[in-house]
Amino acid sequence: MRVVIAEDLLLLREGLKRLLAELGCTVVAAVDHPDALLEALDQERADVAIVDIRLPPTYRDEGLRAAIEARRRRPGAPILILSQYIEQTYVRELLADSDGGVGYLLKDRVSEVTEFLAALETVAAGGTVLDPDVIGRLVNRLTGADTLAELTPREREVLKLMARGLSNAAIGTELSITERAVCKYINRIFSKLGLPPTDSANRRVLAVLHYLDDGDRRG
Amino acid sequence: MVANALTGVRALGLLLNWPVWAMRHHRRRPAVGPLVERQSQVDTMVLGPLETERTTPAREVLWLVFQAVLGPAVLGLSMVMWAIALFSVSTPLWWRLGPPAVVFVPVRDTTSSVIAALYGLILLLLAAACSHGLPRWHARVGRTLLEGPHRSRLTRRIATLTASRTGVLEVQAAELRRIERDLHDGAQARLVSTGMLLGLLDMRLRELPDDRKLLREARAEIGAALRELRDVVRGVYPPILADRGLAGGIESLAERAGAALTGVAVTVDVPGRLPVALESTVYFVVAEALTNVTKHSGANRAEITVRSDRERVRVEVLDDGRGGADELRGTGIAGLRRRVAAFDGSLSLVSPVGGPTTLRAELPCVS
Repeated sequence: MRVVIAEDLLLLREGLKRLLAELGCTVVAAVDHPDALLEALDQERADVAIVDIRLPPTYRDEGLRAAIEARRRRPGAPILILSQYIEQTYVRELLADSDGGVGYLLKDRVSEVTEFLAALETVAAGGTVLDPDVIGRLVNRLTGADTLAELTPREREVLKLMARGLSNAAIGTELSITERAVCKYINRIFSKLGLPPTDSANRRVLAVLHYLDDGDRRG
Repeated sequence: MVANALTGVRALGLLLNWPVWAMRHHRRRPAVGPLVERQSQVDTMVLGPLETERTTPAREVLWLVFQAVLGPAVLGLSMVMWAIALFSVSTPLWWRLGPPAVVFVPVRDTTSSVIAALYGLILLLLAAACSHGLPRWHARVGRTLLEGPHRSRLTRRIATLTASRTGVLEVQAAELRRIERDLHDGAQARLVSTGMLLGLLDMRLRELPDDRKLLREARAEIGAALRELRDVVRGVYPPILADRGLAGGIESLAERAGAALTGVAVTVDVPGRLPVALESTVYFVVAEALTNVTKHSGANRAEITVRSDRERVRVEVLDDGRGGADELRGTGIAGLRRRVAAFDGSLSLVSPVGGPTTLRAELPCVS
């Protein structure tokens, strides 16, 4: 897998390079500026870009803006955003184009090396990966508002894992159930929430996320 | 009083020399500074310490004239009074020696000399009173001439204090931002990097289950440290404020409060950006209000309104909960009140039993 890294802190940039090399990825460019990121994405055939939200010159959300710009130039360009903070606003902006191939994780998650690699592969393959924190917050919000009250606790668990972008097999492993059981849960969730059934994992994630995200506005 | 007179003489000198000085040094006014300094030491002895304020050239000249005239005059008057008083009091001792004299009354015998002495005694008391009071009066008038009347001095003092407090708040806000950035680039990055290394090690040590258990514990510790740091940073200076300003910050608060409510309406009408310190105060007012709404009010809906013009920022958080909020229980509102008071703002909580509850804060837009 060919990876571009955009991270302004040397310590983390070097750490990521080393980690990715160890995981068998090729780091084709490691930059510290949003302009350099866009340039690298134009020139290198990268499978995925790992982008820190805070980049120069102002260290606000330049990374996010650069990611959105890169995806405007090349729709669906796979980008995994890393940050010290999860902001719902940023999740919404990142998912706005519905093209898939995006991820948003807390930097802490990188230490779960295998999961991190899986997330990177999912994003590179056009899937969507969101931090458990994001999903937790979305689901809790709707549980509080009774919108998800019809779901059993187990179904809610499955929903959270699905929204994070996990495959059926991965959900099965996580909950120690068979893949077929996972399928059954998912079908039941979709019919309870009134969502159209779909086989594409990515569209499934997006459907769930948009459902969750719209929740508070539906009231 | 002697010092006052000396100042007066010096002031007179300065005034008389003024034309010569101006020609020689091409300066339009005499160097009053050292003299003011000197005299203010004298005044301080009489009136006690007072903060000195900046003065104007016109006031300095007026002050010089006053010193030149009144300094020697007051000393002269006082000396004459003492002389007459002593002269009168001692009348019984000398009236026999010289020719008949008139000291308040014609002195011809012992009785009239004693009456003159009594008058002298009254004059003596008067002179003593003058010696005590005149320097104070002199100092006070001098100071007023130099710095303006007491009232306008207070007004200027308030302006200075307001400005310096704004400065302090800005400095504090800048400090908070610096701490947030230091944590982000320092401790947080280091912990993430350590986590990465441990993750790698974990991958390599798959065949050694016992050591991996320790590793997992170490990584769990790092995870906990990162979570705590994130909470600290959010409390110090919310990163979203730095990234997206007040509107973005309030939106993010509303999103988070959405967990327990069915709807949160947000209106932020703030042209441009407010000073950093003010922004974070408004943010924390809304944050605390929303915490109360979601925790205690049992409300379904909340409305947040933040508006500002050039003069003031008005914050209002309204909910449809059960009301009856008592700010004496719990420290949240009291803390907010202190925060808002630091900006010379006001905070009110209206919460009748049965609801609705409205929290309003109004802060001046100091800049």
